[in-house]
Amino acid sequence: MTKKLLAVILSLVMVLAFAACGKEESKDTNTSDSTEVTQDVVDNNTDDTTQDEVVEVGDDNTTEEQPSASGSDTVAQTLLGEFMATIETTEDLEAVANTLSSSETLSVLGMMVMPVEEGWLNGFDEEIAGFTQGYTFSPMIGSIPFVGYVFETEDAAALVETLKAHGQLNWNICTTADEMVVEASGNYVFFVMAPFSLDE
Amino acid sequence: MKNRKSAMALSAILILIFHFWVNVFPGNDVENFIKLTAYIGVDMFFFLSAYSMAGREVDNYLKFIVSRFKGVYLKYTLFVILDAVLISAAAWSFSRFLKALVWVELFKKGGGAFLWFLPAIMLFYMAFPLLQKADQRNPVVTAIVSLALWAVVAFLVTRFTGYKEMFIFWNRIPIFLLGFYVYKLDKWIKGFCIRNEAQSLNKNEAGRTEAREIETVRNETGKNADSVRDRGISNRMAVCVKLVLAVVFVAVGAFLLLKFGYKIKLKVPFRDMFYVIAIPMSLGLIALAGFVPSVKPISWIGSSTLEIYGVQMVIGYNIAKAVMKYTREPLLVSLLVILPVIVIAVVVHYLYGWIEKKR
Repeated sequence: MTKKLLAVILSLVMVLAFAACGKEESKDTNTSDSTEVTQDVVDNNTDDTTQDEVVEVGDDNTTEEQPSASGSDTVAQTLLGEFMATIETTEDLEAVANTLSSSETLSVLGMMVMPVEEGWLNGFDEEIAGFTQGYTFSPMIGSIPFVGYVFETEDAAALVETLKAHGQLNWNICTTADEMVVEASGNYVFFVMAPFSLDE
Repeated sequence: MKNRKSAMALSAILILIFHFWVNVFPGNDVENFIKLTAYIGVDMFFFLSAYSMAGREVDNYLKFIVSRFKGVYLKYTLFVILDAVLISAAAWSFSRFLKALVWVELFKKGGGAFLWFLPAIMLFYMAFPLLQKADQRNPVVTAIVSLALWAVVAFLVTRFTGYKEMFIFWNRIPIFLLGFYVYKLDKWIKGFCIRNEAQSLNKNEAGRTEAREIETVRNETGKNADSVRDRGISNRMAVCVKLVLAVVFVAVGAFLLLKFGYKIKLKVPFRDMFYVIAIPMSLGLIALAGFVPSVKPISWIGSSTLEIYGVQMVIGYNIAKAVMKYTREPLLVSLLVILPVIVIAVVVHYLYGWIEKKR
């Protein structure tokens, strides 16, 4: 009798779960497949009039409301805004990385900043080259799906393409970041992979 | 398997290191290598689970599955409820809750699924009796077909789809199969050594005298002195072989991990092939751990691995946030996160066991 009851309960739960598949709620922010959205943004503040903002977001093949569309910026977008503001005031890349790592948005993570060189970088499936200077800002705890970089480069467009091509949202094996944001501003490139929100 | 709890404890500690260790020497390659390859603790678990199961004769499939459900799925459900209702309620919707309970989340998110290892190992347990039955009929064909099935599915999914979430458990099939077959090999080796020694004892007068003495001891003590004696002799041979093999496997495994499972991870011919590359290192570490006596603390940790996994995922990050409010010293952060997780998990494990006994 107990076994039959267990079987019925499990069957019901399974039916409900599959029925719920078609109704993804916006709170369920971890997703698996990815699609890519590219926007051209005109920058009035630098000589470089064309910037590519590459935002790769999770898409579970269902209509899912992205946090930015609903009015509140994601973690990566917030940091991007702070990067754009900071890079206009200083060309000291380490200072930029430190500013980003001490952002209010990342205060829960316990961040650390380290210089990086061309070669293997955390978050990518191939070695990364094409920059003259770089810093990473990332949580002390590696299981959090967040990694950020700022680079100085002589060919920002090429570096953006390289980062976009080799960034892996699931670099962390057991966890997956929700989005990847890559943006160039002059000779400086910003790269972040992060969850939409760090509130959980 | 001698000192199996030591191997289990090592596996659990490796996973804790992978999730929560903070580099004490940033940029140090050795520390980085250990931390970033500590995911092989999961591979060790798959091997040890299969090895443990292989010794069981599954007469009744339903009874076996129910026992696995009680041992694994029930605890998994409790952790899901705890996280969804109390700890991280903001991250859970009702649909996610249901999907986690029936393992749909595992297929949708792979390693990003909540406590993914538990539903994955349940799937393996459900297939295990079939493997055992097939092996009893024809071991060679079973081994070949199992591996072929794994490889064909992995190839087809890699080649024709973009689906990657399944590989975190699909590519653990080889090491699970290894666990099953290494158990059989171990059993055969022990039997061989016992038979060999029994023959040697009868070859000369001294041997026959010794055999009579063993028989006397058996009659007086009631213990099976033959097998006690033979076990001692066969164990010494097995120990030497295992030590040499362990060192070789660790050395080869470290090289393979360094090349294909560390920074740049092997993804050919199938996705996430680096899990297969991790096999030699996993086997080597399990073999080495077998030399570590399962003293009480190690035994406690080795018995509480499921709870350690659950506790670290449910509250490990919250502990880390709390610790980092007071200190950012890497070693302190690592220890103040990992040790409490272990202690809490061990308490939960034995408390659960006590409640089960009282029922």
